[in-house]
Amino acid sequence: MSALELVQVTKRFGNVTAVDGLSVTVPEGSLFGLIGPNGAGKTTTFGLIAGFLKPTSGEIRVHGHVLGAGTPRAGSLVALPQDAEMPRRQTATQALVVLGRLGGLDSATALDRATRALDRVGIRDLAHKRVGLMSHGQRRRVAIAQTLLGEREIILLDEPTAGLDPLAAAELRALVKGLAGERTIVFSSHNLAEVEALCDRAAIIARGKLISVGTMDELRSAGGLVRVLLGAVPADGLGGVVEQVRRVPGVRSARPAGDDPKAVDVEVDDKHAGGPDAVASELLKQLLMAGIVIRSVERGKSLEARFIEDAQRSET
Amino acid sequence: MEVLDLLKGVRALLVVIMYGGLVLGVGSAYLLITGKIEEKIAEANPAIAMMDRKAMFAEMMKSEQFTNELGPWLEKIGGTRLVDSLADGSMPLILLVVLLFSSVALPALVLITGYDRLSEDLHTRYARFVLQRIRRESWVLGKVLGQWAGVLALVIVVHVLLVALASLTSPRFDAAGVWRALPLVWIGMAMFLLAYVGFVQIFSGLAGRPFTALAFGGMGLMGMWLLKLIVPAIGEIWMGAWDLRLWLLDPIAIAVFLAHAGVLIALAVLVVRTKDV
Repeated sequence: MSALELVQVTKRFGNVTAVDGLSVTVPEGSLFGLIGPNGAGKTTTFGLIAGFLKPTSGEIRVHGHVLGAGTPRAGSLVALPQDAEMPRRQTATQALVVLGRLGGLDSATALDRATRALDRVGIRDLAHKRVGLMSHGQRRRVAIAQTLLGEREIILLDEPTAGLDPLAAAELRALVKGLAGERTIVFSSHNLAEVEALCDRAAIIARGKLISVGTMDELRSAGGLVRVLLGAVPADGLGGVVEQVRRVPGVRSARPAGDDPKAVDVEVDDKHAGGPDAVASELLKQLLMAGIVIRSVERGKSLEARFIEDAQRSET
Repeated sequence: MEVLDLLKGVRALLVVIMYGGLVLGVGSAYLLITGKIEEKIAEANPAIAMMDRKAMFAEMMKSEQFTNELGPWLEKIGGTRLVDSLADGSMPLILLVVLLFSSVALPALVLITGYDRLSEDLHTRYARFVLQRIRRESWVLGKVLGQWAGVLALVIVVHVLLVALASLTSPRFDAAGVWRALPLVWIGMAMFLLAYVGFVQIFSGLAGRPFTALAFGGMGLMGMWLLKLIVPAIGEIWMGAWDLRLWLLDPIAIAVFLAHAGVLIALAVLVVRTKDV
C-alpha cells in the first residue's frame, strides 16, 4: 500500500515551472530519498506534499486520501521544513508543547511527547533553554524533534543534516535509521552517500521532472547500466572498443566513462532476451574474443555516478 | 497563548503608555477647560454655579443657542441618541471627548500591536510548523481573537486605572457617571477593536515581511481616512464614520461595525488561504 502518492503534480511560480508533472509513489514503511541538483525542485516538492504550497495542477494523496491545499496533515503527515525557524523566545519544551497542542494532544501528553522527542534527538538537557540562545545545530534538533511528537505520521525531512557538524549528522542518520520501519520517511539530501546508506528507495529529480525512481539497487542498475573496466587502453584509444561494444546485440549505447580513463559505460536494453545480465555476458565474451584485456564488467554504478549521469542528461 | 504573547511583550507597555497618555492628556485638558468655563459662568451668574453639572447641562440644552446651533450639529454627528445621552447624563461629556480621540488613536495602536502577528510567522516560516497541524482558517482566527482580546484587555486596564486616578485626584470629575457608562463603552470598544484587528490582519497576511505589513497597514489606515474625506459615499459606508454612534451603542453603528469585522476577518482568512506559505 502506498503511504504517499503524487500524481502529475505541477507547480509554477509565474513563468517558472518548479515541478513539472511529477508522479511518485512512496510505499508504506519505506525510507524514501528525494535527490536532485540545486534547483531541481526538491524543496518545492516537499512544500507541495506538506501543504505549504498549492499545486498548479495534479493530485497529492496521503494514505489514499486526496488532500487539497491548506488542508492540515495533522495525524497523517509531519514535515521538517528546510529553512523554517522555531520561536526564539520560547524554550525547546514550550515550543514543542505548543506544536503538540496544535496537533491535538492534551497538555500532559504534549509535555510527555516533547520530553521524549528531545531525548530522542539528544538534547534533553537543553529542554529549558530558549531556542534563540541555541546554536544552529541545536535549533535544528528542536525542529527535528517536532516531527516526533506524533506517532503515526509520514515524516518529511528536507535536508535534515544541513548545517549539522559531522557528529550531529551521524547521530541524526542513526535516529532516522532507527525510525525506519515504524514510520514512512521521505528524506532529501545533497549528500548522496547519505541517501544511499539510509534509504531503501529514491527518486532522482532534475528541473522539476522525475528522472528515475526505484529501489537503490534498481537505481544503480536502472536501464541496464554496465561499466566495462579495461586492463589496458588500446594504443588507438577507446574508440575501437566503444565501436565493438555497440555491435553487441542488446546494447543501446556505449561511451567512454567520464570519471575513469580505462572504463566504458554501456547502456543495455532491459527488455532484451535474458535481460541485462545476458547482454553483459555476451558483451564480455565478444570483447575477450576480440583480444581486449578486461579487468571486470560491473552491473550498475554508484548512486553518485547515476545521479551525475541523469543530471547531465536532463541538462541536454 | 496569543493573548499572553501580546500582553508580555514590550508593545503592551507601549500601548498602556501611549493610550494612557492620550486619555490622561485629553481628560486633563477637558477638566481644565471646563473648570475655567465654569469659573467664568460662576462669576457671571452665581445661580447657575450653584447647580450640579448635570443640571447645568440640562439648563444649557434648553437655551436658544443650543436649540438653534449646537443641538442640530450634535444630532448630525451622533444622532438623537447622542443628544439624549448627553441630556440624561448616561454618557458623561468627558468620556465622549476621550472616546472621540480614542477613535483616531486606537486603530494605530491596533496596527502597532498586530502588524507582525501573521507576517512574522510567515517571514520566519514558523507558520510551516503550525500549518501542518491546524487549518489556515483556524490559524488566522486564533491570531485575530488573540490580538483582539489582548488589546481590549489593555484598553480596559487603561480606562480603569485612569478613572481611578481621576476619582482620587479631581473632585470635579464625575466618577460615578463614568463608571456607570464604561461597561457599555467596553461593549462598543470590543466591536470597534475587532473590526480594526481584522483590517490590520489583512495586511499582516498579505505582506512577506513584518515591516512591509506595518508600512502598508499604515498606508491602508491613512488611505481609508483620506478616502472618507474625498469620497463622501465611502465615508458613509466605512466604519470610521460610525464610531461616535458606536460609543452610544446605536444599533445601526453596531451593525456597521459587526459587518466590517466579518468582512475584514473573512478577507484576512482568504488572503492566507490562497497564498503559498
